[in-house]
Amino acid sequence: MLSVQKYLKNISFEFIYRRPLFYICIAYIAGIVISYTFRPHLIAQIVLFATAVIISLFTYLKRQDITVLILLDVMFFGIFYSMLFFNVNSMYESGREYVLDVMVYDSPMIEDYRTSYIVKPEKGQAILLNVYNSNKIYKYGDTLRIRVKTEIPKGETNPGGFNYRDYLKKKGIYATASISEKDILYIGHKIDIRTPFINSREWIENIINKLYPGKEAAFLNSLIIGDRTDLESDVEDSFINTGIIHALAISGLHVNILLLFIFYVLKLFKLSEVKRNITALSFIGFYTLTVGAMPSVTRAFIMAAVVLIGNTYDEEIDVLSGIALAAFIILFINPLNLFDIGFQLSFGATLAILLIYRKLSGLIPFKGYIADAVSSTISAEIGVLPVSIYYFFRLPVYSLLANLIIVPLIPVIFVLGIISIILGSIFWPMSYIFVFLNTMLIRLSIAITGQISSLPYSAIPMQRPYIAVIAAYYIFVFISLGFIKISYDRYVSACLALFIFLGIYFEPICRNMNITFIDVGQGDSSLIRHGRTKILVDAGGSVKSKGSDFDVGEDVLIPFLLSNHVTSIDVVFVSHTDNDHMGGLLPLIEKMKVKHIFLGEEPENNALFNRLKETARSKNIPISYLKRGDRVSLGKINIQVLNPSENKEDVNNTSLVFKLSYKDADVLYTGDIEMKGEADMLKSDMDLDADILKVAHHGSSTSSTRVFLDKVKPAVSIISVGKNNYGHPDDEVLLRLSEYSRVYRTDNDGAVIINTDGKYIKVKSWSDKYGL
Amino acid sequence: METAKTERLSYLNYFVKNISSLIFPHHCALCGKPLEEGYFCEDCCKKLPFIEGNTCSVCGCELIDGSEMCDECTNSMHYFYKNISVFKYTSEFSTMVYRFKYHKDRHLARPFAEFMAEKIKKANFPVDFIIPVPLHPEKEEERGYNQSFLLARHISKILDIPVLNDVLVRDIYTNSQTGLKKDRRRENVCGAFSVKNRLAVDSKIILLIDDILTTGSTMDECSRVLLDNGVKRVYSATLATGR
Repeated sequence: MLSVQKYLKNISFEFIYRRPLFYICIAYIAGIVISYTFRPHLIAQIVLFATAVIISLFTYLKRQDITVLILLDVMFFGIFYSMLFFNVNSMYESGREYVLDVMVYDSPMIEDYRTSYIVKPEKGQAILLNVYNSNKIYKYGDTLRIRVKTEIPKGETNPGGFNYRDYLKKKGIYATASISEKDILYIGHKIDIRTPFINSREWIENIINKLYPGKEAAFLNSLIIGDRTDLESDVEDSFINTGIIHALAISGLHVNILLLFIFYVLKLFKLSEVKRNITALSFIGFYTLTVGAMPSVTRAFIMAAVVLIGNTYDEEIDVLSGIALAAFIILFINPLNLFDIGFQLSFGATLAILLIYRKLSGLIPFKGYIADAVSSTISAEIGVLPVSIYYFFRLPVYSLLANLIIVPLIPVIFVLGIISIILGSIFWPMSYIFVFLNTMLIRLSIAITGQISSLPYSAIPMQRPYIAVIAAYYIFVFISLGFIKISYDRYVSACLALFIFLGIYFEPICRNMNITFIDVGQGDSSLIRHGRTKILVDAGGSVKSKGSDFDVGEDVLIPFLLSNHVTSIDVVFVSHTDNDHMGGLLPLIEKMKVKHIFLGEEPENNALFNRLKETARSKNIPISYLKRGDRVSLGKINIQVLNPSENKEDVNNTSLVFKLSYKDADVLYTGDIEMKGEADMLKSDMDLDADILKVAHHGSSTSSTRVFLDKVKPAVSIISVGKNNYGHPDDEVLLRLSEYSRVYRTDNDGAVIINTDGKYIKVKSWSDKYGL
Repeated sequence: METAKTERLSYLNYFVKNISSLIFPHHCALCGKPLEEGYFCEDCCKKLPFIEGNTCSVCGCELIDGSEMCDECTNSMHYFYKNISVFKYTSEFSTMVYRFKYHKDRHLARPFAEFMAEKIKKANFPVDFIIPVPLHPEKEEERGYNQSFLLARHISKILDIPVLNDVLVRDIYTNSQTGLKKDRRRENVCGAFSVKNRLAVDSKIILLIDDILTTGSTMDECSRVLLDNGVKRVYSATLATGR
């Protein structure tokens, strides 16, 4: 007979094998992971699942052990069930026009001049609809007739980058569209089961916005209804830097406070235990649905329900079975939740607290509140450290300090917030004193967090950990906590620790030259790697402007570099000082080690460049200027500068143009040079011949003249371009380029990756890999 | 034969029969071993300090010799008619009772009540109502539950005798009886209880439920108050006896 315990003899995951639901949940998760990685055939999976079930039934009727069979059943079920979610393709076609009757499916998100709706046809997939400069606002339940040209959201366009398509898919959205007010016709209004929840969320949000000033309202909105859209990104950033972002994600902390609050109020009514618990649970359930049932809240709700129901009926309460139940339910609702950051962090932290907390608090010499807070913070941190580094690329050094100071304030702010909402909804002056107090408290916590986050070394930037390092880390944790028992455990843990330590800092060495033209939207950026040398040419655009929290440098470039294990840059070439080439450099040199910056001509009085110069000076990064004829050697890579010349020109035509050579392979970087500059280079009679051409000025019609291309004779041309209003790339230029070479463009191909040994050149488009 | 079979079957099979054991799995209350059903594993069940053999006809404690009453009962009278207890209050057992009372291990109410109900059934008390010894509301708030009420509720379910939880109330917040001498204990609980709804219990036979009987002063005081209010006779059952 098979018995799981027997096989797990050496792995004493006592906490697992005492809990059947834990087995089942792990088997289910394994199924989801298998399904996600291998994408097997659906019919085959159904057959496998059915066979497994039939075999288990027979075995059960024969009264034999079916433990392993049940786990297999669950796993096969997980594989086939999650395929029903993974294998859904968009029913919309990119660029096709549709006339649809849709219902507004969520509260609108309003950002300055843009209003975003999630709309859904009666039978069909939801669309994210962006309406610009509209003064009308539609509510949940409004039915509209719309004429839209749908777009399929982009998947992962850069290696290790953000996958917008999967992100939207998780929310059930399969297409995006931009639309103007003219193309919307209001038909009517529908009320359905979700209406009361959406309405109460809007109601709470309105009251908060009415009672509190902007910044504090945004904070409270994220705390109470989990809506972080209005929260300023530097506040959010400082909370991530200090490792207390969990306080802003509605989770166990908030649900527990709310439960205590409800119990306190219910005490006035002298209810019996059963009635009291059921009332409290219904409130929490309503709250969970109101805030949108994110995995972390749902988890907290289910676990609270298990504890309360268990208590009411005097059942043995087992929180670990509770967490397994929560995971199972959440993953049953949508298996894609497994890949949700909130899911991973919430379950990781809770599980770690449940498993490690007691062991840790035994080690702490003192007792009391601080000891409890220290051990729960540390155990949660142990549990989610690799996960949070994986997503946030930083090590929150002062996490313990921030947790001890800020986290105790959160319940107070939360309860004051709820009281002020209740009173404020009755008669707003009554809530004045609470609002005042709470505003002060919120300001205080934002200020303290900001202070801690601005301490030196507050968030050490880390590269994305390798999967092997993550695995080694958890094995190390399991061994040191005694969950895995092996002989020579000390030597093994020492080896693991060494492996983890080296693995964190290990940067792969490229034997061949590898160039990645990164998809930074409208702008240029490419990374060149060879051996240990890392060169960056341009850095994309957008230093955070008012009204938008999106910053290419911070949100695309740095995550790209860190997730590809690049933690420092040897040389940055900046072609010229336009924002779409240099904007991303500012956050880059602030957060990462950069050894040298090269530019073409030194610009006069350019605000962006002055900021760069100042930051570079404070970080001791030398800036040098190159001109025609200069040569730079970096390992086996040679750079020959072709522009700027002595002649005074405009910004674009003084772009730094250079030929980068590795053995026999030549790459021509042209910046934003235009006809005039091209002509000037042609006149100088330099050797412009290159295998790969970074097409000038995003494929603009003012560059890439035929005479120039005749001289360059590229085999591959790459256009770094994104959505823009300039008409880049120009159709004629595209046609012209295709006469000479294969043309790649980052807006369609995603990142374009070139690998060359100096003789042969391999070009790969990252989006192709993901079947965009 | 049956046990041999269940041993070979891994306990995961069990959830096919009982789905709630998935969410609320059973573990041995003493050693923590996972169980298919029941609350104690076989080895631990043998270790439990059951009261066996000859017992005192009044307070229900175990007697080594063949006498009918224990020394205490011969020396002093009790207001309750007869008490039975399931366990001896040994130091080992006291830690479990402590967990049950204070440490939120309230699921122990189920096995304890089962043991008690079995014994009550055997004793064949002709009772009309079950009344748990109440806690002061403040204390109940503090602990979260009244352990005697939990026992009473489950016993009531098994024996099908109704529980009256609002008849007997504790008006005075008294200190814990633990660590007090016999006389002090009696003083401590004197006048602490009162009856709220005397009509409900008029000339009825009552079964009082408590966790531990040591000197019997709490039980006596409750019985006295009940008898004063027209109750015909008071039986009592406790989980353990400290005698």
